[in-house]
Amino acid sequence: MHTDQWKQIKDVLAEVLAIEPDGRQRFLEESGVDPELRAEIESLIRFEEESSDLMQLSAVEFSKDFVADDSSSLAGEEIGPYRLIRELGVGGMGAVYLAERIDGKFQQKVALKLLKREMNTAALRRHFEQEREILASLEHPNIARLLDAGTSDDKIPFIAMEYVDGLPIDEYCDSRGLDLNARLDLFRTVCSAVDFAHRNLVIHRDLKPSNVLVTNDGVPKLLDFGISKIISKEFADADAATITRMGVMTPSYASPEQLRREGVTTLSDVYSLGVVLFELLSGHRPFEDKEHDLREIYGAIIDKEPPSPSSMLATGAPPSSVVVEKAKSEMAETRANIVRRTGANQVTLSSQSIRGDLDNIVLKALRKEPERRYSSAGNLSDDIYRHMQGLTVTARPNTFGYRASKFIGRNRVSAVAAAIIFVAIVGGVAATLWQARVARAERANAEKRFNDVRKLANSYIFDVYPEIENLEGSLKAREKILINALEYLDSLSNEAGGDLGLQSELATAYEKIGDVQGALTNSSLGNIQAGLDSYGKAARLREAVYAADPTDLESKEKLATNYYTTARTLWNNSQTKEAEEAFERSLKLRRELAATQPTSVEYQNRLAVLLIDYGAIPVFNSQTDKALVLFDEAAKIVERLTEQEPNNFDFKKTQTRLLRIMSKAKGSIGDYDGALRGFAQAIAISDVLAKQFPSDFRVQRSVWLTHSMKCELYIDKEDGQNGIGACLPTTEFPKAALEKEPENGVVAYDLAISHFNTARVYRLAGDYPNTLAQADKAISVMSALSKKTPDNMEYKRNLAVYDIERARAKIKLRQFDEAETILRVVLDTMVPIAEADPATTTYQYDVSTGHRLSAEVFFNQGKTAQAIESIDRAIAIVQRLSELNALRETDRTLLQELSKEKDTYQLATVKR
Amino acid sequence: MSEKQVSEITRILKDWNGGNEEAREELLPFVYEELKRQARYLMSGERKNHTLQPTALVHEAFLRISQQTGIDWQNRSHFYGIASRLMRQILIDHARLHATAKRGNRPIHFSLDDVQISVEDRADSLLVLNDVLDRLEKLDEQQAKIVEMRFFGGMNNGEIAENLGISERTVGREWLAARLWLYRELNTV
Repeated sequence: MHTDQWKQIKDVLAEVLAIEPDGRQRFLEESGVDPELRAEIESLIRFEEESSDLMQLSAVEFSKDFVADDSSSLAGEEIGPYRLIRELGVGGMGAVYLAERIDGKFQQKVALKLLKREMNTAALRRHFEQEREILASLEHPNIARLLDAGTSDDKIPFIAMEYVDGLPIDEYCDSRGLDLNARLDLFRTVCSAVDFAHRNLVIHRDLKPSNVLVTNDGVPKLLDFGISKIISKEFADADAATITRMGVMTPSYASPEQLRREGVTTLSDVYSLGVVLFELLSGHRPFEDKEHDLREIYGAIIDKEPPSPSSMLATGAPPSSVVVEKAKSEMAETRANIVRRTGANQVTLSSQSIRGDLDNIVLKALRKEPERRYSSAGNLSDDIYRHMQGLTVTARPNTFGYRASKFIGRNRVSAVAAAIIFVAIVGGVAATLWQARVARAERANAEKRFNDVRKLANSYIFDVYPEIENLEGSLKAREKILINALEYLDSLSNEAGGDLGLQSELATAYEKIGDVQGALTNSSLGNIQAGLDSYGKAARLREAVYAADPTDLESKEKLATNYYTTARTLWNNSQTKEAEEAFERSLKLRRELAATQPTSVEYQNRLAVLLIDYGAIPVFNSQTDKALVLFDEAAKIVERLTEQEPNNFDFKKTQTRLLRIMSKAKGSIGDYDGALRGFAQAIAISDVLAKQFPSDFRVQRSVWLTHSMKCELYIDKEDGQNGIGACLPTTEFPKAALEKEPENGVVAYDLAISHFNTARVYRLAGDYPNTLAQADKAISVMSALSKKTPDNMEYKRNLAVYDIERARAKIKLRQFDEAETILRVVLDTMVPIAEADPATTTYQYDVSTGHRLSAEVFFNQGKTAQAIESIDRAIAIVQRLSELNALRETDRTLLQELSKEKDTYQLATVKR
Repeated sequence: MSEKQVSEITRILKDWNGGNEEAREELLPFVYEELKRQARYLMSGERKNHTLQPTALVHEAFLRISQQTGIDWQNRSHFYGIASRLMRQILIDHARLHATAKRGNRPIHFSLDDVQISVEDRADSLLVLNDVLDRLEKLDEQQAKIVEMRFFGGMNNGEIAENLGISERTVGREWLAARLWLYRELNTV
C-alpha cells in the first residue's frame, strides 16, 4: 500500500465509521470506491469493537515490570560526595550500593544506602533518619559502622556505612573449613553484637547469614539494621496474600511471632540466631528441606516442632558432603554417627558432637513461645560457652511434663478450665458437653486476654519505647499511641478481677508506659505527670497483689521498686514532699525485705541505693543532719557488701554513689577537706570501673558526675583559682557525648551544668569575660532543652540561675543596665515557680538572690528607694528559710550580710 | 544533573527559545538521560500495584529540567513530544533486554488488562509494536507520531493537537484509523 492510497482509505474510513453499523454496507456500495480499497476498508472496520482496548494502558505501564528489573543500573551515578559502583542489595524502601568518595577525602569504599526516590516522603525520611540514629548509637566492633549521612543534590537522603568485604557467615565457615569450636566461637561473637544492640534497645529483626558477614580476618560484622526493621514493618502491615511478593526475603529465619505478625521483641532475634546456629552446625535450616513451598515453610515455623540439628545432619544433608560411618561396635547406641565434611580442608562435623547439649541449646533458642527461649542473646552465648567448657548447660529437652507445668503456671484460669473439661470426660457424662463448651470459651477468653497484655507490654517495651525515645517532632503521634494503649490497658484492668498473675502483668505494662512518659534518664517526652499517673495505676495493682499474699517476697519487692521509681520521678519533678513520702513507703518495704532475707546481697544493695537516693533530698534542701542519718545506715550496708564481694560491679557503683553524695553533704556543712577526700576516693573507684567498662555510658557518666560534684565543692568553698582546674575539664565528656547523640537530653543537661559551674569558678577567680562566655554556652544548651519541653520547671529554673550568673558578672563589669534587664527576666521566671512549689527551698533562695542583686543594681543606678525595696524582699525570704532551718552552712552569715547591704543603701538615702 | 549539565541545558534552551530549531537536537541526550532516570525510579520495585501514568514520568522530567535551568519552556507540548519519542526509545531498549528469540510465534498482547502476561511476552509484544509502528510511519508519519505521543508519552488529544498544530477532532479521527490499522497488523503477522 502507498501513502496516497492510505490517505484515500482513511478519509473514507472516517466517513464510514461516522455511520451507524447497519448503514455502512450500503454507503460503501453507493460511494463507488475502488474494490481494492473497499476490501481494505472492510477488513479494518471489522476490528472496531475488538481494537477499542488497544493502548488503553500506556507503554510505561505495560513495560514497567521489565524496566523495574533493570532498575539497578544506578551505578556510576553521583550521590553527594560518592560515586555508586554497583548494587549490593535492595530493601523495602532503599537500595544499598557499593560506593567510593569522589572528593578524594578518603579512599575508603562504603556501603551507601539510598532512600528510593518514590519513597522520599516525610514519614519515610523520618524512618531513615531514625535508622541513622540507631546506627550512630551502635558503636561496636562487630556491627558495621555508620560513617556519614546526608542528602543528594536532588534531596534524596543517604547513609554511608562501613563496607564489609566478606562472606556470609555460613559460607565463611564452610569455605574456611572451620571446625566445631571455631564455629561456636564465631557464633558467640555474633551473639555479643546482637546483645549489645539489644542493650541499646535496638532489635535487628532480620538476622540471617547474609546479614552477618565475616571479613578475611575472621571478624564477623552485623549489617542492615534499619532496612530489616523497616522491612519487617512493611511485612507486618502487608496482608498474608503478599508473602510471595517479599521475593528474596525467605521467612526461614523469621520467628513464629514475626510470621504471625505479632509483637517483635529481642527474643525474636534470639530465635533467628537459633536458626543461624542450626545452619552452621547442620548445614540445613530447620524447616527447609522437606518443605519447599514458601507457604509450607511458613506454616511449619508456626506450628511444627523443629527437628534437632544432629538429626538433620543424619537425614537431610546433601549426599556429597556426608559420609555415614558405622557406629563404633562397642557402643550400645544403635544410632549411626553421621559426619559432615565441609570446606576445602574437609573438616568434619559429626552428629555425635552435636547431639545432646548443642541440640538442646539450639532447640531452646527455637522455642515457639518467646518466653521459653533464652532470655537474651548473651544467655544463649553463655550456654554455648558452658558447653564448650564441659559444664552443665541450662537448656533442657522439651518434655511433655515440662510443657504441661509451664502451661498451668502461666494460665491459671485456663488450667482451671482444662480441669473442668477433664472432669467432664472422666465422669463420662454426655450431658456435660455444653459445660465443656463453656469452659473452652472461658479458656479462650483468658488466653486471649493474657496474650493481649503480654503482646502489648512487649510491643511497648521493645517497639514503641526506642522509637518514642528518639523520634523527634512526633510528640502528638506518640501521645496518641500512648493514650490508645492506656485506654486498652484500663479496660483490661477492669477485667482482671482477682487474677493476680494478670494484675501483675498489667502493672508491669503500666510501669513501662510510665517509664516512657516520665523517664528519668530521658525526659524528652516531658510528660512526667502522665508518667506518675501510670506508676500510680501500677502501684494500685501491685498493692492488691501484695495484699493478697504479704509473704510473697517477689510481689513485695516489685511494690517497693514501684514506690522507689515513683519517688525518684516525683523528686525529678520537684515534688519534694510527695517524693519523700514515696521514699518512706519504699524504705519500709525494703527494710523488711532486707531483714527477712539477710543473706540476699541483692536486697541489701537495693536498700542501700534507696537510702542514698532518699538522702539526696535533704542534702539539696540543706537538712544535712537528716541526710547523714540515712547515709550512715547505707554506709554500714555498703561496707558489708564490699567486704563480701570486693569485685562486684554493682556494689562498687553503690559505693561511689554513697561517697559522692556524702562528700556533697560534707561540703555543704563546710567540711571541705572531708569532702575532697571523699571525692578522691570515689574518683579512684570509678576510674577503675571506667577502665573496665570503657564503652558503658552509665559508668563513664558516673565518673563525670563525681568530677562535677568535686568542681561544685570548690565553688561552695569559693576557691576560684583551684576550681578552674577542677571545673573546666568537666565540660569535655558531655560535649563529646552530645556530639555523638544530639538527641540525648541527659548529656545536654550535663553539658549545660558543666558550663554553668565553669562560669561560676571564673567569676570567683575574677575573670568576668570568661564567666559570661561560659554562662552563654550553658544558656544556649539549656534553652534548646527547655524549648523541647516547655513545661519542665527544672530547665526554666536552670536558665534563671545561669542568668543570675551573667547578672553578677555584668555588675562586676559595672554594666548595670544590662544587669537590670537580666534580673527582671530572672524574677519573672522564678517567682511563679517558687510560689507553685514552696517546699523546694532552693527556688525561694534563687528568688532572694534575684532580689538581692537587683538591689545592688538599683543602688548603683542611683535608684535607692527601689534598692531598699528589693533588699527587703530578699531579707524576708532568707528569714523564712532560716526559720525553716533550710539555709546552707555556708550561708550562716547571709542574713547579716543582707542587713549590712540594706544599711549601706539607707545611709545613702540619708546622705542625699 | 551536575552543574555543568545544568548550564549546558540552560544554554541550549535559550538557543531554542531564540528560534534555533537545531538546538532541540542538542537537548535530546539530556532529556533522554533525565527520562531514563525518572523511568528507573518511578517504575522500579514496590509500585507494581499502582497505575503509573507516563505523563507523571514525563512531567517529572520536565519539572526537573525547567526547575534546574530556571527556564520556562515556550511550549510544554514540544517537550512532551520530544519526551514521547525518547520514551519509546528507552522502553524499546529495555524490551530488547528481555525479549526472546521466538518473537512472532507468540500472541501479541495489547489489550492489557491481563496481568498474567509474562515479562518476556510483554517485551516481545512491544518490539513487534515497534516494528509495526515503523511501518506506519512510512505510510503516515503524522499518525505514527500520534500513536507515539499517546502510547509512549501518555499525551491526551488536546496536547497532541497542540504539538502537531492540528485540531483535536483531527487527532481523534487519525487515532481511530491508526488504531484499526495497528490492531489488524499486530494480529495478522
